[in-house]
Amino acid sequence: MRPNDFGKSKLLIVEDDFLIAHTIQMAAQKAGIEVIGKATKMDEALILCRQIKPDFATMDVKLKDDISGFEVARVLEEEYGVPSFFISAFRNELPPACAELETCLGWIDKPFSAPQLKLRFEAILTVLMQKSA
Amino acid sequence: MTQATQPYLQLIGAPALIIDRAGNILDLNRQARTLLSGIDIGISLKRLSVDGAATLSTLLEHSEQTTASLPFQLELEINGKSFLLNGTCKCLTRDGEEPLFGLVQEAHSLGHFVALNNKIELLNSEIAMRKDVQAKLEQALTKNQFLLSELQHRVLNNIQIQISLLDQQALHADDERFKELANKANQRLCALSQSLKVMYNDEGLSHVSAAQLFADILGHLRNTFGDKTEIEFQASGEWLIPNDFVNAYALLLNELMTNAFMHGLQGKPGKIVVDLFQKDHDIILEVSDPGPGFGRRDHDKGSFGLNIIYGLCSQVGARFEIDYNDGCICRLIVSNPSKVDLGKVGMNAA
Repeated sequence: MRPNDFGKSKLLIVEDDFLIAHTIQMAAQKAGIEVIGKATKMDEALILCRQIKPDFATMDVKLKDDISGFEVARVLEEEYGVPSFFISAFRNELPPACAELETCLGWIDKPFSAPQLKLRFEAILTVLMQKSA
Repeated sequence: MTQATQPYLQLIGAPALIIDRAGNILDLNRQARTLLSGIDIGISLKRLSVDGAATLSTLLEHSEQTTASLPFQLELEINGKSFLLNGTCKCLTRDGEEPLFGLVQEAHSLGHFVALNNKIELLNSEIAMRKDVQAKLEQALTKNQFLLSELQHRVLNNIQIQISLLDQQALHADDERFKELANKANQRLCALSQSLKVMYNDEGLSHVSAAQLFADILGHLRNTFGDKTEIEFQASGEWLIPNDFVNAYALLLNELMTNAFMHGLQGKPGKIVVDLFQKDHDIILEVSDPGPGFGRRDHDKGSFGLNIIYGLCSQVGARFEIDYNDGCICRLIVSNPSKVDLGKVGMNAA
């Protein structure tokens, strides 16, 4: 689904910390994005994707089930064509992994505040709109 | 053969062998078996010779022509191990008989050899022990690096959680002043986390690069202020901030930038210029914006932001000045930084 074709852009949050996931949700809603669900690991993310395909996902790099966020992002990209926006504490672990993905939407360093993330979401929406135009 | 030669061989206290002209071992005593472990009757010494039998052939040829014992030195390789036979060779038969040769290891060289062998074994066991210790150290290092990385992740994650809590509290508040304060607190936490990251990433343990620290904080603030605010940063040369002061400088820059954004740009598009340079014996950090500057408005005087700036300046031994000249220039001045703080390159004088 193209963003805004049938309403709001849809976001899947892949994050294993409740409070951080909630902040991401808050920032997304402030940016006018609909959150289709929050997953804490790969299988939950895939189930949610099958139910409603999101326009993009926010991806925590370090998940609790020992499967890296990069791996989840790769599966989302290959199986569902869903691009990811990464969230990581350390910037230096991001560029090489992102370069291997075709549809990486960038990343934000932890810690971030909701207003900062909202600004990034607005920029992502612009990119998605341009791609779908 | 062995029945005839064994009594002779047993009388010799040193390792001794009897070989034929082809170099095949016909008999050997117990000492020889011990010294040259792995050899036995029937084995060819020529095949074991490191030089391909040339030395042994020459030795046997010369020995056959004399009744004297001839000194020799023969390097053998048996099952991957090197042995040095060093002794005398004597032809034991005469006149028409098939010649036999007795090889006897000299006692003094035997002692030398045994000592050498013992030393090699000692060294080998020490090498094995050191390899074992090295493997354990490498394991411990890998484990500690993992734990350190985990710890760093958790520290940053905890700061993230504090920010998330404040964000959510602000979301549910009706009071705009509370929201503003929560945002400011979050920005300060972000500045502190940037200083932690720079300290984690820096290879030096005692200092971090000021240019790197400030660039990272400004990069983070670009995300906060948005596209309408242009941030220009110039740093000339190297100034190293001692780890003890990194948090303080991170907060100081954050306060100056927040002030420039709020009071300088006042929500309008504009540019904030950050300049780090040396003038005479001072390191100067300047933050310039086109606005009226803080400290001018009544409620700024004695504000928490200004208190933080003056307090932290006093902590790090810096001076704080504000110039109002076609905008506002806030200036932190560090006088006479130490040579260590100026690193190898130092700052380029303005």
